[in-house]
Order: sequence, then C-alpha cells, then structure tokens
Amino acid sequence: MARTLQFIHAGRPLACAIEKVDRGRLYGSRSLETLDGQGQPCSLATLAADGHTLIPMGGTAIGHIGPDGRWIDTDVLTAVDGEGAPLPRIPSSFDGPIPLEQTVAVDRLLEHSIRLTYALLPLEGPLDAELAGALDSGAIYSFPFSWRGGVASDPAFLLRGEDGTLWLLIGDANRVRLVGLEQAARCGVEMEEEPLPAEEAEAELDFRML
Amino acid sequence: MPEINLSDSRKRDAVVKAVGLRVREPIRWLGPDGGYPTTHRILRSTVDHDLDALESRFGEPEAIARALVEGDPEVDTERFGQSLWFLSRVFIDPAEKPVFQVQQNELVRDPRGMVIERRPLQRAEANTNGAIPLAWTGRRIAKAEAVRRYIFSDLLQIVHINGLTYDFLHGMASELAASDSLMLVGGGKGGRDPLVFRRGSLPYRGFLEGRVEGDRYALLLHLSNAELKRPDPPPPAFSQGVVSADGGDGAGAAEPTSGATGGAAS
Repeated sequence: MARTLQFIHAGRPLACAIEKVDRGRLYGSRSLETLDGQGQPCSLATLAADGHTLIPMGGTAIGHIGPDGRWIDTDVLTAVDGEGAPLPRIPSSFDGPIPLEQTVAVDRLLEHSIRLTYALLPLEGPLDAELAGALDSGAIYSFPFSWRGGVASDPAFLLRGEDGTLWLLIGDANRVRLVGLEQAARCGVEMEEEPLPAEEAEAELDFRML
Repeated sequence: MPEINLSDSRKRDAVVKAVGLRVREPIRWLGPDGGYPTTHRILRSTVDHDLDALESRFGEPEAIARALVEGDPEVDTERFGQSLWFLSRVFIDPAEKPVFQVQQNELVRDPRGMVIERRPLQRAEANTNGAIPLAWTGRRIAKAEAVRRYIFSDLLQIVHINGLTYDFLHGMASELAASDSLMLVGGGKGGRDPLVFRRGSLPYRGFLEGRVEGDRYALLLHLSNAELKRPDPPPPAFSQGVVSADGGDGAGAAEPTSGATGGAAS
C-alpha cells in the first residue's frame, strides 16, 4: 500500500498518497546478464587481497574502530557537523504535516540534482482553491524531507507538472558559482613563472641553438 | 574534471572543462570517548561458510540448524571480523568458482518488467569530447516550462580554461540569460544524439543555462534522462493482478536507497 504524506498550506491540511516514478517505470530498463563459457549464469562476488578468499554478496560489513584500536558499536556514535557540534535529530517526514510555506524561484530548483520523483495523489478530492491557484501560477514549494528521520534531510520541492500532476521532487544541492576571467579551470600542474635573469632578458635571440 | 567540446550559436567551438557541483553537508561520527573512529570494511562471511556450503556439508535444514547450535560452522573465528583491503570484484559460476571468461548480454525490459529483448552488450561511445563538438540545436525551452517537463538529475558547470574560452563561454551565458530559457545541446552531426560522457555510461539529454552578473558568468549543463510524467496505465491484463517479472506490482511508494532520505546513518 502506498504511503501517505500530510502537508499543510495556509492552515488547511492536504493528504497525498505517493507513487514513485522513475525511468524504469516510464520507458523500461536494461540489465546485464553474465554467462560463463558453458552458458551458465554468473554472479558477482568479492575477492580478498590474498587472491583466493571469495566473499559472497553481503559478506562484508562496515565497522568503526576507535583511536585506541577498539571496536565501537554504531548505536553509541554521535553525529556531529564539520565543526564538531552535535546534529539534532529530525523526525521522518511521514510523522507529521509538512508546512508548505516557502516558495522558491525556478533558478533555485534548477540548482538541484533530482534523485527521487514521486507523484502526489490527493486523497480528499481536489486541492483547495488557494493552493491550486498558486501551483497553477507556477509556485514551487520547498522544504526539507527525510524518509526515515535521523540527522540529515534532503531538499525537496512540490510543484505541479506540465501534465497537471502534483509532484514531489527530492534531490541534492549543487553549489553554483559565477566565475570571472581569473577563475580559469586549472589544467595540469600550475608552474610558477620565474623572471628571467637580466642578462638573458636583454640578450639577442640565439638562433644557433635551433 | 572532464573536458567537453562545445559549440555556440555561431558554430564556433572550443574545448572547455565541465565540473561537478554536488555539495553535501559533512557529517562526522563521534565516539563515546570523544575521539573520531575510523571506518573499516571487515569480513563477515565467505562462500565456504554460506548457506550453499552448509547444505552440501550437512544436508537437510534440520541438520544445519542442529550444527549451527552445536558448533557454529558458519563462523570462521580466525578470520571473520578481520579488516579487508584491496578488494576485487570477480564473477563466480553457480558452483561458486571464479570465472575468467564471460559473455555479457543486455536484457531490455518494458515498463512492466517483462524482458522484451536479449542482445549482446552494446556500449555507447563517448561523444562529449570528440571531433564533433556538442551543438546548439536551436531548441529553446523556457526555464519555468522545463522544470515541469523534465527531471534534471545531474548538473555540471562549464568553465573556461583561458582568456579566449572565457570570452566564448561568457558570450554563450549572456545569450542564454537574456532569453531566460534552456538550450538543448546534443552530440553527433546536427546535435541529435544524447550526451555520453564515458564509453558505456548513461546517455543524457543536455540543456544549457546561462547566468550573468557583469563580468562573471555561470554556464550550466543540466542533464536529464526522463520526463516528468506518470507512466502509461497498464493494459487490462496487468491491472487484474498479473505481477511484473521481479515479483512486485511495479507501483506504489518505493523507499529510496541512497542519500539522507534513505541513508543508513539517518
């Protein structure tokens, strides 16, 4: 059964079922089939550095080792930001209504790489007139979204698509910066330019060396 | 930083750079003693200890269960838990032996998950830095319309490498900024082909956007491989309970698997 997201706009609630839409559901998909010399299907495994230990799918795990070399359980770790400040826990976006308060310009949406796309299917009839009017006139609502809750959220956008469907787009932020002439991309190792010695700078061009 | 061979509206072309712009807020994990732990990949199991190996050794599930209780045959206490480095990926056959020569086929599935074609693997050649520059197709689309029609799944910024290419790219950005629209760019003659950055990588449709403030500019290449639309409804046979090849009904809310929205750390 599809999960339901609750939104709130101008004090009025909006409940929507969500339906994931991706490239595979629109156009189909491609996958790889790998066969050995006898035509038997092959699967991927991991080979350890000793050259003979084969590790099946799921045969490795990630562990945390403290500075003293001891194992640390994941549930005693604390998430902190780049400066070391603890990050607050945020609830799942399914736990409560998401306020539709902040709108953004098209350029702001274009600065994001969209990773997940969900069609929103209103459960209680048509949208209220105010929200429908805003969406029809091009409003794009922005809010943080977290599927399970935790310490991080993703930027998300709600808008009406060209086909009239209400969409939830979840993405990653990109940092767009305007660049000037002096900010050329580096190509290879930059060489410091050393001034020529005075006698070389003033010398005649030496064509004998050519 | 990949190079890209790009032409402008006057069909002048130059090789410039494309840079990724993705940013993620750094999250670090602090241990109970105030130190920052390091992350290690560790060994959890080998093919000699998986279910297939236990079945061939003990036979019936009841016998396996008894053996698990009595002697932990699924665990190699000498090795499991050791840190792993320099791992390689290999193909194994159904007998879990490494395979050294493989043939790869591509299975093409329709939107319902049914295999409609099996063909030898074809890898599209890269075309973003070849002899033929990426071309302006002349097809403009207003930004407000584009975000409601396409899913832009990646973004690159095109940057100059010297004074000449600065003028070239600044001119393109100015032209696009004035029109408040995106320009479709494509590979091959006439710019009809999708963009392929590396051999065999996903093909994308590319849309250029320009932003300008005085002498500074941003020329952005938006990449899309899907439209923002709902799938066509399945034919009646499928809506009456026929499931897709992967066993699911292919619809409904699917939980994401990456990023903060679906990350294990969340």
